[in-house]
Amino acid sequence: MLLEADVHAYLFLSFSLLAVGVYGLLSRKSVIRMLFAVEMIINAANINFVIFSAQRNVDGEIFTFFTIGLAALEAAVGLAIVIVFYKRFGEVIPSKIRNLRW
Amino acid sequence: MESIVYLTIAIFFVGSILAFLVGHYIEKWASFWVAAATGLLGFILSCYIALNLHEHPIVHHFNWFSFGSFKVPLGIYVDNLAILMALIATGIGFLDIVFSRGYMEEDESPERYYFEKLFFIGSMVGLVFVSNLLGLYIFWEGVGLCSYLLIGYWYWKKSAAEAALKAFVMTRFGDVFMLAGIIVAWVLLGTIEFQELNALAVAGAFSVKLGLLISILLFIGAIGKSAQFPLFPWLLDAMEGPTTVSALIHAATMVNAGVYMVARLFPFFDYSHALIVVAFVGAISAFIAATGALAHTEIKKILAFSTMEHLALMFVAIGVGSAVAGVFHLMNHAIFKALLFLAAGAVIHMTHHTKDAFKLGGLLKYMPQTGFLFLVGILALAGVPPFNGFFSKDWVLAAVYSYGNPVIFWLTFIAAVLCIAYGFRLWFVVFTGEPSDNSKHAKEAYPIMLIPLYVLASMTILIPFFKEKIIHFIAGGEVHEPLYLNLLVATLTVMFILFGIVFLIYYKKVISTAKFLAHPLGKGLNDFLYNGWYVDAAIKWLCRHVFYGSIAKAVEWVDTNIVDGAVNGTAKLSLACWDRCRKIQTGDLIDYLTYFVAGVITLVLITLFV
Repeated sequence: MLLEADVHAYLFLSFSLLAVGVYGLLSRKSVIRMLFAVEMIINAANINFVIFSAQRNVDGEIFTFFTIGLAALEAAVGLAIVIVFYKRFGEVIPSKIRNLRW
Repeated sequence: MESIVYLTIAIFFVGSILAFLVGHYIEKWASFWVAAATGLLGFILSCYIALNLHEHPIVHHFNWFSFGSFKVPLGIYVDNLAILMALIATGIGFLDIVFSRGYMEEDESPERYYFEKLFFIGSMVGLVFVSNLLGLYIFWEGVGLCSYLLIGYWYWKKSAAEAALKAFVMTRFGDVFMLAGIIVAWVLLGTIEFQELNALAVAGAFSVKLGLLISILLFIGAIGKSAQFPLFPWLLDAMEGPTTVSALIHAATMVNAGVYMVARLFPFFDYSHALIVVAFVGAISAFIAATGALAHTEIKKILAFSTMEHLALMFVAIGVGSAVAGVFHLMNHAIFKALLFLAAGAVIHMTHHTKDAFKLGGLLKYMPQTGFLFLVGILALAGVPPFNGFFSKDWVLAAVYSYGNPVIFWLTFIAAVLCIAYGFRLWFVVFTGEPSDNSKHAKEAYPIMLIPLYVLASMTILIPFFKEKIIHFIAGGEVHEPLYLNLLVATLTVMFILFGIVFLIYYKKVISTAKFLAHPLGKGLNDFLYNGWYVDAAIKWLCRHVFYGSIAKAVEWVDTNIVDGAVNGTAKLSLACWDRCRKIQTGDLIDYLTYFVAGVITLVLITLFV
């Protein structure tokens, strides 16, 4: 059983991870970097799963495996998109490609 | 008996369709035989009803349809007045159909002609037989529709098409008021049955003001239909149609409808104090028409003016309280006016559609029988004893005289005595004097045209012999006919003097009107009368400048600026919103993500702190 204070410490960790991930997502650099950021956000959620299942004695940590698996798939698909992206536009900076608008 | 009444109405509508089908699929002129048979059968049925009518009217009511507890009644009410009108419509209608065989001989589509003609007579028969205002209104519009179709029968002529439209629109204008009157009566008095309305009026069950409103609204409809001041110009333009159609409209059917309605609702009008309005409108119309007929030069338009005048005399008679005199005059007028129109039709047909009387002349030598029959019509029209017109017109004048209103009396009197002047002016110009080129090729009318004329002419002479019986039949009882010897003598003297003047001008040609017409004042007066006191021009001016120029323009402004403005404004507003909102759609993935994250943060903050 984890102590309340430990839970808070872990939650702070996961929140920091989320914040870093969101910052990374929004700071408009390359698509690769955005994929990294997404991984961080997912892992912030994973940490929450693990912490709460450890504290409340529930089996939530099982979802972590699903998310890790999904994250791997997402990375594979994402990287494939990135390659196509690069082939089509010659660069991987999303803010320079604005075709998705009126 | 009810079934026979319904059959009489139905036979014309069935006959009209049959005439069209027979004419269309088998043989063009076979439609004539169907039409003549239908007309004759309708007349015989009307006679049968008349002979079996005795004292009690035929009444039958039924529900046409109903919404819940709201019932729409329809039915028939046939009394002496109604059957007399039906006899006029069917009898003269039949003679007119027979005459048309000669007049329309060169026609391309007699099946259409006879279809419309029978439909017309059928509508009129229905109009006089129905028991309430709603039924009257339905057939009233049926008559109006047929007049439109028949006036515009030669639709390829622009003038005919326009005349038809004018007749339709002008009578419709009156009908709108009539419809309003029916609705007011239905809503506020709770009934539209003639007999109930009259009974309510006799019992004094509603206020006089309400009665006056309803009466005036209904009377405006009658003004339109019976071509009274100020809605008469259509009647003159209606002369563009075939002359047989004019005879039917003017003598037997349509224009009588207005007089019939006022006579039918006589107690109602009487109680509402509306009769004085009827009398005044009639007197003014009679004066305008009589003076107009004096100045006009076309055969048919002179007769049209005279129709308007005689209808006005009927209205005056009813207006001064002598409905029997009005209806008696209606009957006499129907006979001699049918005679005149059909004789004029014969003249026009035989002179290759010469309508201008002054382009004819000396026709008596070429068409002696028609000329003689025309003369009989003129004598009856002028009210020369012993023809039928004399008795009814004299009665009308006596009724007006005893009423005591000098304005109405003098207008009516002048109009009534002027008949002889314009009547003989027309006859002398057409039938005497030097024959013109148009006249020289004229031949006597065919027997099929002359027979109806002889029937009508003999009736103008025979009716006075059965005068007492006919009046008794119309009134349903004894009527005291006023007799003023001084008035009679004065009327006949003035008529004789007028005849003398016309005789000198147009037969002996010792007095010439050329000098009078050359003078600008004389010419102005002539034009003024010729154009029916410029009422037509006044209506046009009113339509163009008041209705179109002001009201229609104002409505148009409201439509374009307010109604359309609201619609266009909505569109502009949403366009402006869209133009501003679309700016946030940059197409940049990061921007969308930013909005998304901002939204999530906002939601989280809301859940945390609110």
